[in-house]
Amino acid sequence: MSSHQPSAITFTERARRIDLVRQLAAKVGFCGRVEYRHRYDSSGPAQIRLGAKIGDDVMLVFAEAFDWKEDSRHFSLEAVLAHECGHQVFHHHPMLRRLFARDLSIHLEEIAASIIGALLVTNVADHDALLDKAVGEALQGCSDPADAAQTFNGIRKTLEVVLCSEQKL
Amino acid sequence: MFGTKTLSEIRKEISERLKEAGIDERQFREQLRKLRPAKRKKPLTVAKMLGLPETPASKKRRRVISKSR
Repeated sequence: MSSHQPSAITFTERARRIDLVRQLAAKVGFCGRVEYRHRYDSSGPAQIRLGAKIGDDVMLVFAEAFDWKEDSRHFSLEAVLAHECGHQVFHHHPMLRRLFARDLSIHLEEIAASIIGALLVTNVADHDALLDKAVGEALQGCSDPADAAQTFNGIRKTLEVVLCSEQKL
Repeated sequence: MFGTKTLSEIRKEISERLKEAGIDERQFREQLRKLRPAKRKKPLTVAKMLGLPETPASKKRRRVISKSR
């Protein structure tokens, strides 16, 4: 964990941040409790703690998410929260974990979380950013870009069939 | 866990890997653009993906989005 920590904020600013993360988490459809922690964390701007039931999940958002928010080189706060929701769907969906059981790894789950997040966001820029995150993750895990493309496409197609086909679009 | 890499770092890495492999990045980006979903009448939510009943928050979200279109 980083020893560098964010500077202190006022009570009003803290309340504003809590309000914003709760609003955005509801917007991307997160089910569970949302908390803001005014510190930096080695895991990045947000993290999900999965419970036994979906309502027991806790989304932790850290100060870094608000540093990122001010910087165009970073993902938007909505994209970050949608990615965490992707983990929530991946863990609680009755079929997904079984479908990917053979190749299940942290790496695969990160790719899946970004692709699911891309399906949840309504903004095109966030959608593209999350797909780039998934592609980047796939490239990191494969020495050959062709294998990475195959991995990415395989996961994406499975997720779209399972998660979108039951919807009346 | 989201990780600490910036979006620009990720895009730079993708670009470098594609260049190494001799893949045209413009064509690659075009393929990714094709994956943008068509506008849905009802946006996807976590609850819908998991087949759970809609929460008041997700209903509100759907109303806000449909009004903005």
